[in-house]
Amino acid sequence: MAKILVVEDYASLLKIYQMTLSIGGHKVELAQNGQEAYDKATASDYDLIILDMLLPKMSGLDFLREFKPKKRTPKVKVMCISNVPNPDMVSQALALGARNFLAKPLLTPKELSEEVDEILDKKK
Amino acid sequence: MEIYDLSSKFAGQDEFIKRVRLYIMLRWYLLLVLSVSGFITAKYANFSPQQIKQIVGLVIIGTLSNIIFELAVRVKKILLRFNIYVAIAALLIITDIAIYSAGIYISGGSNDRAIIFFVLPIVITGGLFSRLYIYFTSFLCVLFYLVTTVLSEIRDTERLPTAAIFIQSIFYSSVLILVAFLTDYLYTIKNNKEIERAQTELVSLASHQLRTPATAVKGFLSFILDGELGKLNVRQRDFIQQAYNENDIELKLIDNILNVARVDLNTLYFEPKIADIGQLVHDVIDEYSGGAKQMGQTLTYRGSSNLMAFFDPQLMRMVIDNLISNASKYSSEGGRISVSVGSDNRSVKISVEDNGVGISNTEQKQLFKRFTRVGRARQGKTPGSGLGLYLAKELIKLHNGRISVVSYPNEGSIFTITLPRKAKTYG
Repeated sequence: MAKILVVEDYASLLKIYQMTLSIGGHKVELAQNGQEAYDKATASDYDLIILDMLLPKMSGLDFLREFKPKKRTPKVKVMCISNVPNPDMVSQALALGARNFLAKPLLTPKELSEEVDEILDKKK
Repeated sequence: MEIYDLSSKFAGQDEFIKRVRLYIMLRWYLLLVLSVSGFITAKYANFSPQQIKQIVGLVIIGTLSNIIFELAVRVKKILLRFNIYVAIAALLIITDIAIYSAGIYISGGSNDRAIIFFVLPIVITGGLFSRLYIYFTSFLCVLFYLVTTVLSEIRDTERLPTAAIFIQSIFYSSVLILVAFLTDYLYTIKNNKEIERAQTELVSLASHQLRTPATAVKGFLSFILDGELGKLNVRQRDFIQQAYNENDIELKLIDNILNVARVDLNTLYFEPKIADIGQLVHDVIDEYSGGAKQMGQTLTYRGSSNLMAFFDPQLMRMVIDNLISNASKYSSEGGRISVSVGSDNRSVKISVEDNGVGISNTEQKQLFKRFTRVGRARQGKTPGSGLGLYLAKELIKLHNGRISVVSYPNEGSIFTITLPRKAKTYG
């Protein structure tokens, strides 16, 4: 069981992520914008942050810039999700410490839980 | 009306002003060339003081008109109160007529030669490019020419040697026409591109907005189908499955539109790598086999797995998906679809063959264009966006490959993709 923060501004998708991950046995917390995500992520330790890129108040990339996942202890993994995975955004997100970048429409709940399990299983 | 037509091509006043400024700049250069060549000719042809005065007059008219243009552009705020388009277009036309006319007047000579060398090129070129502005100017030039010729006949004024001034006139008028045409043409192209880009951006934005809720629907339906909310009876499962399938079609359509927009905007996420193309084709066929069976169609695969090629798996999957989906859509019940993958040292060939409705020769030429729907599809009998094959062509082009079709009406079609095997042959 892992502690996961899901950041997504579209309420229906947030609900789907929450249900999927809860069924997978994880402890799930939610944030609907970048600022809320940053406040929660700095206040508490998470194993994984699932981060949408286009967010109100603070974008996904800005979140990564502020939060600096590489420098955190204990280590926290960040998985980015976006509808608009343009090459620039992907390479920037990976450079800023995201572990993975997924295109949202390809994610059924089953695919999402597989991706989450895979990323949580990875060492380092 | 003509004057309005000239300006209506431009999206905004700024665009028009830019065009006018470019035009003025080129006129300064032309004027310089005209003056230098005029005075050199005057010197070597031993012109009389009267003739030199006339050349000076011509240069002064050109200079003054350019100064007027410059001022007109600079005080556009004042002109904006009136109609700047009409004002500037009118200024352009009036001063150009003055220059043309002065040229004709000074050149004198016989009517026939003046018409052949000076006025006709303007009219013909204007006619070729349908430039209303040039038409209008030429018309007035001819009119002015006729009047001045009659007047000079009456007064019998001293004239420049015809040949000398003709060479200048022809040079000046043809360059002017060329410049007018080119600037118009360039600005129209640029303007069209900008409009196209704005439209594509709008499509891209709209598709994102459509995609998010459609994705959410897929998620919720998946939950129900996976039995997370309790067991479904056969009828419930059937209905939810149909909703899921319809949502899938919707998502694919949105993806097609979005990817076409991305291809056009050059923002497509293209990440090719060496991977097994045979396996990918096999996977897509697996996905379709259920649907094909339901329609009584047979879907067969020929070829080995472990066929490595250089491609973007996600995009290539979309292409193969589009081709197989088309083959199925345009085949009747009991149709046969066979997919084969083969290779030689340098390339991999993927063929999708069906014995469906086929495509006529004329329709084949249109097939890979945007929004093209042929035969049955155009009659609205088969769903589709007319984007699938355009997208397939663009994506294959991105992979440095080729896509082609061989088809006969009522016999069927074979679509063939050729992809380079190795990264190094990728452009």
